[in-house]
Amino acid sequence: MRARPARGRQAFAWHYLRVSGVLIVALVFVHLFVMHYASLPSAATAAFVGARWAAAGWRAFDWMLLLLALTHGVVGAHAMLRDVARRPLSRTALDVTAGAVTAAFLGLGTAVILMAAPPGDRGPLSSYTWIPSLLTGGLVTIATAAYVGVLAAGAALGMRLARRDPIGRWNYPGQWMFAINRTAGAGVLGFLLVHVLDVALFPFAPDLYDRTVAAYAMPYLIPMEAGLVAAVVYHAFDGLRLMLLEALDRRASRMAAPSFIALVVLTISLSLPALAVLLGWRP
Amino acid sequence: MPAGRTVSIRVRRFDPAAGGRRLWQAYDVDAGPMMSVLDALFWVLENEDPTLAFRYSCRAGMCGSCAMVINGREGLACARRLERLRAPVTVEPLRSLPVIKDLLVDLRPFFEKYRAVDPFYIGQAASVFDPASEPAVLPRGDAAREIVDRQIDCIACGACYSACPIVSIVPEFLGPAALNRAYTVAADARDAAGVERLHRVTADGGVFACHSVGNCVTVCPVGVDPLLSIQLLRKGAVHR
Repeated sequence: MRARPARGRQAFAWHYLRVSGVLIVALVFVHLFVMHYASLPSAATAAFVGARWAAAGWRAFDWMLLLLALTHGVVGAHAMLRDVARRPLSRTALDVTAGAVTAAFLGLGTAVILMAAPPGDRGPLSSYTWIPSLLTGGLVTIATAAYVGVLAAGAALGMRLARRDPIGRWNYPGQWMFAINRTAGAGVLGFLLVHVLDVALFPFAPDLYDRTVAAYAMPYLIPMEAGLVAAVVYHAFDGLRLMLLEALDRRASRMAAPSFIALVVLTISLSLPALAVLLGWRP
Repeated sequence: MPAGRTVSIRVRRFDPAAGGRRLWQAYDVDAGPMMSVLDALFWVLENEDPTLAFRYSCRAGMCGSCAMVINGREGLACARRLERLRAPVTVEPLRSLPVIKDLLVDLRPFFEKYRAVDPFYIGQAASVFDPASEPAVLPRGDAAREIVDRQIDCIACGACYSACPIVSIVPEFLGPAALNRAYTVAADARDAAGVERLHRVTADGGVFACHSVGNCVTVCPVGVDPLLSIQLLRKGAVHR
């Protein structure tokens, strides 16, 4: 079979998500280990960030993570939404939004990583004391949306099962893997955007940055933070599973149920230590 | 479920002439031994409701006409035994296709996409009967041919199309059956339309719209693996 170059928006997204996924996976697990296993998100104070970014290697690491995570997330979300957007105007708006979000957050993140910390605790934005409240409000909103979404989906499924009504394509393990992958990706992208904004306080108002990260210790946010770790772990391993499946010329796709169980077990096993750390356990 | 007793089946009814509302209707079927879901539908037709609409042909799992959603999973009604299903047995029409009446769906969108990949052999010679046409010689154990031999078992029943979530999200997606068929003809060493066909299936709505969900493989009643064909078509595009 002679081949032709792949073309089109979907072909670009398919290739980019795989290339960026392979490049990002090691960076993500190092980040998870440092921030969620060896430490606490609420302990990532301005002093912690200052010490970390004193090393050029960590700055380069964080910038690569930002670049790959942001573009991977935006390309994935754009592909997902572009598939359901029907009208040309909606599609154009999506294209413009994706480009603008990437440029704005990548530009802001790059500037923050390159900037030096102010000499004292305070910076030029320290008088804007409403900023931590706004960012914490954003985190609480994401957490509430996640809790309500999970409860509503669980209740809807439970009611259907109780009434013995068909549950649509949810009978198939592949459907669960697909839906959880997309939900996890969307959740991680949402958090990443808020996270870029809170870290952006570091060079402009270290005191406000400290107040913002202290909010991560709120009990209300802890299930969301554990869920985010689980989302990252699941999304990463499911992506690797897909790439392995695509690399094999075998009928590996018949392994849907066992691979789904393995994914769930792996995700829970790797997320439980992070939850324990969030709840105060120290090794 | 033991055979030879009453089995409750719930059928998703739809009649455009009666207001077009979709509703569940329950029937108690006298289930005989080895009775299939198709047999149960015939029982309803003959004993309870002569207006029930469904499609069937061979009754032997070969033609694919009676594909429907049984207890939430796509399958052939003639090949699913009542005693192996949890009661009440629910029966619905295939998804992602317009319902004409009850369990009868309009398969035109499915076959239009099938047709879009030129699902037939296009040889280099004007005709296989052309005296200049050389017979193809395939080496014993040819790996590509072994895959094609398995994948051409597709009976175009539409079960994979119905089970695929991407078909319902992305209307232009060609779907598992059409892409599987495209692979079986494109992988033929004698195929003269390979480049054009590959061009078509790698454009938007083709193999790169697939997210490797795998429901198509789970539901195929004849053991075809459309996802494998999609993967191989992608590789054909990637390894140029």
